[in-house]
Amino acid sequence: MLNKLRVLEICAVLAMLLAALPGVSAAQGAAVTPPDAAAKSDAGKVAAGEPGKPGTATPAATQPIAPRVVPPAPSEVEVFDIPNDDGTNLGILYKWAGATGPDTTVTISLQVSQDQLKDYTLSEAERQRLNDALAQLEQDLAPLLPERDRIKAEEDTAKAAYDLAKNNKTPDMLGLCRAYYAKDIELQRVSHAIDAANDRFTARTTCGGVIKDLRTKARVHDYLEATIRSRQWLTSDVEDKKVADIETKGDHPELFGHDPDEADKLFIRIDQIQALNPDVVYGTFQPGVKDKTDLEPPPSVLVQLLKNHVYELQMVVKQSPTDTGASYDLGGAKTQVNYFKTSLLNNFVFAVLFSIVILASIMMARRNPNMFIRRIQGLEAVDEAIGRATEMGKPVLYLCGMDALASLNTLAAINLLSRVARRVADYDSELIVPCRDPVVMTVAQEVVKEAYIDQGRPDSYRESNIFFLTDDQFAFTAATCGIMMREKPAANFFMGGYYAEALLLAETGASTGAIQIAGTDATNQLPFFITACDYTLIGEELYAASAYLSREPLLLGSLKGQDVAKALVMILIIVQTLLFVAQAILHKNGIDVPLDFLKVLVQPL
Amino acid sequence: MDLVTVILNLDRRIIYTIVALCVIVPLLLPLKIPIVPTPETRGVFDAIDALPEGSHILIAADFDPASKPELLPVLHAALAHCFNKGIKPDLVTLWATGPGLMQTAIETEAARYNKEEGKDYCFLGFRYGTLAVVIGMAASITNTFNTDFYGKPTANMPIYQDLRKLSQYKFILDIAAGNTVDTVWLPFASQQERVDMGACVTAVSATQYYPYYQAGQLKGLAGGMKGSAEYEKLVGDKYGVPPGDATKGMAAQSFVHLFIVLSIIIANICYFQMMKRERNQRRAS
Amino acid sequence: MLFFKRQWPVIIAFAMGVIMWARYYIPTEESAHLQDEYARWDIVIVGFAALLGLLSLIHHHWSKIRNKRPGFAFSYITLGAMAVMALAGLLPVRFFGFAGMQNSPDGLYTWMFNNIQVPMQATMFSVLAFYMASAAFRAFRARSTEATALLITACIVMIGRVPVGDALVTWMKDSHMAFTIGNATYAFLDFPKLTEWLLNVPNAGAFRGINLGIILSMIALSVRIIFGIERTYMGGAD
Repeated sequence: MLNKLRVLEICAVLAMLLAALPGVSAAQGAAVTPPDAAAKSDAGKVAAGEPGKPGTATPAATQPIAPRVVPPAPSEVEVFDIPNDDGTNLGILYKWAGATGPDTTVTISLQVSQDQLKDYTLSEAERQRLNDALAQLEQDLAPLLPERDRIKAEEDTAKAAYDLAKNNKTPDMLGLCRAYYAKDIELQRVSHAIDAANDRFTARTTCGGVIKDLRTKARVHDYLEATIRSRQWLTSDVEDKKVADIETKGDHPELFGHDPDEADKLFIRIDQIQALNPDVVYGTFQPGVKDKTDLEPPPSVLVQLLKNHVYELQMVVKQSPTDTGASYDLGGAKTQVNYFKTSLLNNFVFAVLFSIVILASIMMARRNPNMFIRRIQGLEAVDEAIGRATEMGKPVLYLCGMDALASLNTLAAINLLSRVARRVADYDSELIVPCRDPVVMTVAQEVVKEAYIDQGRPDSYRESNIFFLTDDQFAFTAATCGIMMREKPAANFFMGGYYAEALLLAETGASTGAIQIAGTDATNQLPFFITACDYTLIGEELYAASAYLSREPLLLGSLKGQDVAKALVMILIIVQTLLFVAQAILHKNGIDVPLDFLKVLVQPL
Repeated sequence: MDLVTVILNLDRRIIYTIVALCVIVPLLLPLKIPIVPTPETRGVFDAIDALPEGSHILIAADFDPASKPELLPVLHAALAHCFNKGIKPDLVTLWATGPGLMQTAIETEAARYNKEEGKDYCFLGFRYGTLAVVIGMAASITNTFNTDFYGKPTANMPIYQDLRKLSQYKFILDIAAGNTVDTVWLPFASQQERVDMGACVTAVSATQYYPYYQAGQLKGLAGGMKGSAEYEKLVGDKYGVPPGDATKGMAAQSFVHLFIVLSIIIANICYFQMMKRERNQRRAS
Repeated sequence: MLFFKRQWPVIIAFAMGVIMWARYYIPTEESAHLQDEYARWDIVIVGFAALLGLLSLIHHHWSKIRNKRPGFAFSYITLGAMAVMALAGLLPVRFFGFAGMQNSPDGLYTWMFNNIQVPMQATMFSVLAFYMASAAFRAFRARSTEATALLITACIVMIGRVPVGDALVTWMKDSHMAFTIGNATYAFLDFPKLTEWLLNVPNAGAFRGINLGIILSMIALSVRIIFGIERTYMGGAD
């Protein structure tokens, strides 16, 4: 092994000598950096471009004789603010000048000023509050912590005795088990008291700002202050990153677009700096030692970069884990807060465009209320189903789906419920609405009540018929099936979002002989509803149901708008398909032209 | 009454009894059925297998006890795969009724491969908020989950020293019984944060996800117990992990499917026979 | 007063709709906080609504018992089960026999969840298999060309999705019941390959079409709600 290393070293020296020859050095110069980088790296800069000027980091002049392999250097460096973020990210683009080894690692450091402390500085009153709370916590924990350790030790012994007895099946096993559980319960009591003391402390030390508790805020401040005082360059969240793990410009189309220039340029993103424990800074840190509040202070904490702040960056390149590394100034950049995700521009344009199309259709509907809407059989059957229930003197069952009110399918189901409730009120029939979500129940009660009032039958409304069952999926299903079997409703409506329970509900309903109308956007449950129900509203028909039944021109107008938008999307799909066919034909004839430019419409930019 | 009429008017409880027997008998008998992994399941396996040692992946296990037979085996297999390969998984669930199952799975697998919580893996558990959780994780994992499932603070854990945001995961695997794949993880985690993603879903919902698989947005798709069994086979073949519950369930599933296909064929033959008879009667009258 | 009943909810719906939509495009820290804040409000609302739900459940079953409506005995079971589960969760009861499984104050609750709730859930889900069998038996009849196509497709997928399909392919290839295209050999009845094609081509295409319609409908419904055109869900008139 040693011999191999020796041979490698000799080869490296020969390579250096070769590189130093006139003519060769010009070509390979970029790969070579000062000879004794390690010795100088402590002092800060070794080689460098001009700080603040992106793309200028070049290694210093080459030196012919070196005792070991000289690390590769970054070249063509660009440091910039990353768009589409919250304003705390910086990006670095660069290339390697020279070859990197498998163990080569990169660390990015930053020059950090006292400004960084501003978010973490405690006021006098806050410091006082924290000290008081800490004193109280220490006092509370002083008797509890030794007690806990003692009981823990006793519990371990009791458990070991019980395990032994269990394995050997000795007669005192049950007694030992009781003793072990008694100790465990005792331990839980003490742990609970410790938790309560910590909870009291947390309640006293909660604060506003970037960090929500005073102890962490003070810790970050103290760590940062000590680290800034002790060194010029602070390590970022990119520390000893292997070169193989560094991504390229081409890997990030959301930042640089598809097929950017120089897609092979390496890309590093940084957004945090490491603040070291003052004990680490001064070399007195002992890992695993807990303080009086039973906490182990971490060796370092990560601190977010400031917004709208200029940072100077440095790269340290190490050839092996034992290497102290060579450092290169990369220049600086300012972090900037962004107010719009440009990567979502196409999404935004589509959303605005579709909204305008729909609103325009609604406006047009106001002028021309007589528009054609195709017949939806399932909705035509609503009257028939309710009429049948009335004739038979049986109730109508209506489910609003399994989702919460925030889901649009539930809102669509609630809208339809209002229409159905009006018809039911008209016929003076009974309406049962079991709900899975209490919020949906509250809204459903309100909607049905209003419908009955509007139809002039407030006395027929029974609030207890719209009730909450349970939020457990299958318990709800079982309960609803039970209602179907007992009450034998003549019409069942299953509207909204459904999951695995769809077939259970629909089959049970079918077995009672009810007319069943389902409507869902849960595409994978559609086959079950279609098999077991008389009518099924497929996907968009559910959303159109309320507008269809109301025959309100404004609501119907939005359906027209939807159709226009759909036609637009269909045209785009057909055009892109034809383009792909053309691309394939051209490719067969030896012409390679990428005709996928429409993808900018759908992919994040 | 002749046989055709009997079959067409068969009481459904008889069908239920035969289905029950088709499930129970193969589970009791040690039947071995060869399993050939589909390209969809292989997609999930290959995506994880191609990751370098030490990579972080996120396993979102969004299911509850109802889907345990279909999805718990694939969770076991995926964890065994990660631990064998030296990949560090983070386990999270958006379903409040899920953590109990996940805890058993991850503790069993971690004990088998001698892995340490907080260092080789982390069980983050459940947080309320679904979408808010994912958006929070995109900003900071340790701020969203300031403690793990066991209540230990995450900020100081070794695993989170080089992993802070969702975008730093190399892969997201959603093992889902509901619709979290296409409503949460795919649009807001995978697409937004540019992380590759695969999904293991219940058989009944698998069809819904084929468009995403076909478009390359899902690198792989394992559907139902068959998908779980295929994953078990792939992990077993490469790393010698013994087959789990899904492989054992394959015989039962095969028999039930065969019974249903046979009953459909028989019912249709009887149906045609009946039609023919009715036609003949009509002609005769 | 009418303003608070009619216009005020529409104004809130409009404001919240536009703010949450805009939030999606704004990457600042404040925007992320807004999402957190929304989640917190949601928790508070759900918490209070759960209380309403509980009251509704008690009211519903109590009125059933009081009026002796058919099946009122089940209401005793529901209310009893609810009380037992709630007490087990609220009171630090330690039963040696139950707590033996998990020696903690919520041992009884956990025990009941694992040993009553979980099997009941799994049972309900597994009932699906039986329902599917009976639905298939009834529904898959070759009444028309479309029904026949559906029937054949279902049979192919059912066999293609279990290992028996693979076993059949292997057997056919071994028995020379196969044909060759180029370098690849295909069995005459390659159900897994056919299934793969069915799922990836016609199925994926159909789902895309349906999903496109659904998503556009969602946008249309959102626009209707945000601009106050659809107010039915508020209980008011059109």
